[in-house]
Amino acid sequence: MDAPTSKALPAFGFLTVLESAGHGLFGGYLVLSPQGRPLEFRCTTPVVATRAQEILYGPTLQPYLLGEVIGPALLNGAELPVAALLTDQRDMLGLALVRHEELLLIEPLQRREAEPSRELALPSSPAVGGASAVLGGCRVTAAATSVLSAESLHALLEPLTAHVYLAEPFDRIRAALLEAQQATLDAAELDDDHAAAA
Amino acid sequence: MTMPPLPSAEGNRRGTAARGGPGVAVLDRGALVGSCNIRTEAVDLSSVGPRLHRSRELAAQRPEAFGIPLPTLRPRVVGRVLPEGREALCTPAPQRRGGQPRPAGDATPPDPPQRFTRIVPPRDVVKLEDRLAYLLQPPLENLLTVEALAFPFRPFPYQLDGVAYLYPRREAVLADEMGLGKTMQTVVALRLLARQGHVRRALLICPKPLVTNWRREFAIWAPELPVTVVEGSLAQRDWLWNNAVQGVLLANYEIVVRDRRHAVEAGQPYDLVVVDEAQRIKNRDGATNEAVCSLPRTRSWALTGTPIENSADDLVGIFDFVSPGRLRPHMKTPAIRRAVADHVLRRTKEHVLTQLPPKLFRDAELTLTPEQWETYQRAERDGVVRLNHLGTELTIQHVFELILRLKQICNFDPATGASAKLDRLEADLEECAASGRKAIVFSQWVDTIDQLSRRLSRFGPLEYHGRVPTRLRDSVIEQFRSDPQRQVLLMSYGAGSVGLNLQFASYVFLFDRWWNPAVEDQAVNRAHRIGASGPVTISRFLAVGTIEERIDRVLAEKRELFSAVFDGEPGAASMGLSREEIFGLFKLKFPEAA
Repeated sequence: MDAPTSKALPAFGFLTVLESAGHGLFGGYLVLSPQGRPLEFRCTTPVVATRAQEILYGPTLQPYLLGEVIGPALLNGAELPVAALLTDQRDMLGLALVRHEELLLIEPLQRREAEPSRELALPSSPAVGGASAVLGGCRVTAAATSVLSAESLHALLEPLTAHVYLAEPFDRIRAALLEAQQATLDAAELDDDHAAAA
Repeated sequence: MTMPPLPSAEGNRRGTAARGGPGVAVLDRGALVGSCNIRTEAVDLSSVGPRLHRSRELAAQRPEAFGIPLPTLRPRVVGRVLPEGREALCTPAPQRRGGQPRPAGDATPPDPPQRFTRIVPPRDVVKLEDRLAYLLQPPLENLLTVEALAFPFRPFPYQLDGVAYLYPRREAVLADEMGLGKTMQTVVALRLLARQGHVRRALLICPKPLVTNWRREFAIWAPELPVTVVEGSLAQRDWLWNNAVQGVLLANYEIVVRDRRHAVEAGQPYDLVVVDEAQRIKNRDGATNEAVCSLPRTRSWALTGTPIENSADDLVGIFDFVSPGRLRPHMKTPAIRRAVADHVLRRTKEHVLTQLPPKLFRDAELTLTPEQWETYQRAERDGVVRLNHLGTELTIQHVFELILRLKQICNFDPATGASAKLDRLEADLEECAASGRKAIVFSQWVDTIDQLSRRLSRFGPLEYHGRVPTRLRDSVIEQFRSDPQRQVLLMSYGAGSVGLNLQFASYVFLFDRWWNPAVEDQAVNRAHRIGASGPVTISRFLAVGTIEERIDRVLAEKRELFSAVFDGEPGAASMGLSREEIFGLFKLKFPEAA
């Protein structure tokens, strides 16, 4: 995926993480066609910061884990080129510094309106600050490094928003991560049973 | 997609610095901080303060530096490009539509959808790869939009849930209560599968009177799907079985039994076989069950509003078709529940159609006229004496004959024609006619319908029963629907209790009672279904002190089983009578030799 092709696939990558108590952060990456069909899926093993990292990174720990650990790990192994990367995790935006694709933050309008204080509570992220537009029921904000205008944002996402509610694919990723996590737990239980029986 | 088990977070913690317990970090010797390799020794952080103090004092003599090791977090990534992604890679990218960027704020953003209907993998899909393939699919609303499936009106959310339930399943029983739109849900799921190339040839089997209804529903909900009705001479049917290899074949049960060999040997297995009114295959020893179960197929769906009519073993017959071997005769109720939990979808109107007008029951417990009562008592007394005299030759047929005789007397006195029920019905129909509303009257017997028709002639009643030729039946329904002068429809349970949409009727009268309340429910739900514009009033006539009352009591006691199998659903359907119970109606013992 690192090498952009001249014949760009009109696909869009969705990046998110699922936090699981007791396990850590699972990363998930789903590439969709403009019609919303799944083209590629990848997920990570759980990531847990060490105590030392918690102390040293402090409030920047989450942006580090998402933008520098999980995000790159997912994207480096991905095969399909995408027109843009979309995430619902503000802390993922640091990834824009190392990727050539446009990285866009997706926030459902309802949630944003319902929790106006949420943005204020977040640590200010230098990665946010690009153009912003309301598209497909969501606010879309480009990373600070982006040179996209609001008009270009519309044009970029237009093929996708005709069919897909932009916040929806993240639910698919989370459902898949939960399923994978459950499958792992079931397999571990089975192994324990076999070990106990042996 | 290969998805190896995800290792636990423990693996990422290994070799890290966090080994000293809460509040304590032990620093390793020789850690790498930034780009400088600083030699350190293991220290306890609790001792760092005093040591720092001391180090300031001794700074000039003994500078000391220590660092914290920061192992690189390298999560393992699993996943792959999905089949559609491979295809997309090989396909040239289409030109973006529009060409010019659209000015920001020019377009009104669509409202966020209120609800997504997810396609959930069936439980018997066990491979993680396959389960993820379902979970990553777009929601049903998106699929329908992308496939450009136009509908005459927007399905109810629970109907989309039903489509999402059927869509991924190879083995499914859609057991929604009558009137919730099983037909429409099936047609839409089939249409979606056909559009995506998963189903090229489907066979739909239904009772003969419902063939027209299914054809109409396909025209409404899947107009592009070719539907072929298997009918005509043997040669014509043979040609259809062998040559109609695309789209939907529509056949009634009798034809499938008659043409079994042709249906079974007709080329490739059907991609989908749907059995409507699946209670028709509940008898495992019957020719219908045998013929339907022998059809080669990759998907098996059964539709029924009454999955249990007489006993839990009815389900075994249906599952012989849907998922052979999943159920065995005489299984305990909890075991049945577990076995079918993921294979049966059952919703009731009370649960999903809160916007449907209410169903008002008005039980009419009637005292027979003196003439009827005298005839009834004499018939029962003589009948029981006769049954007792039969001794070991007594069969259930003898008991049935007496029951039917007594029930007929409850309708009309054979000698005088007196009828307490008819008196009541006439009074109710006067009121119904005065309000301009329409009524359906159900009876078990065509003879009773004939008598009613004569006595109710001033209401211009129409008739729909087994003696009305099939070709005329649609016009009867149409006349009842459209002619304001035709306010009463007299129907037999057998001909009119399934598949018909009569939601323009506001009153339903059950002139006599069927053996099985599930069939009565079917009848009532002809009127009380989607599209009903107002409440539907149901009057159930019951002659007090008679066999009708005894049957009703026994059936009421048995409603619990259905409830036990289908998650506490209160009496939406119930059981018929066993042989022992039928004998017990007259305090007769079931003879061993019988």
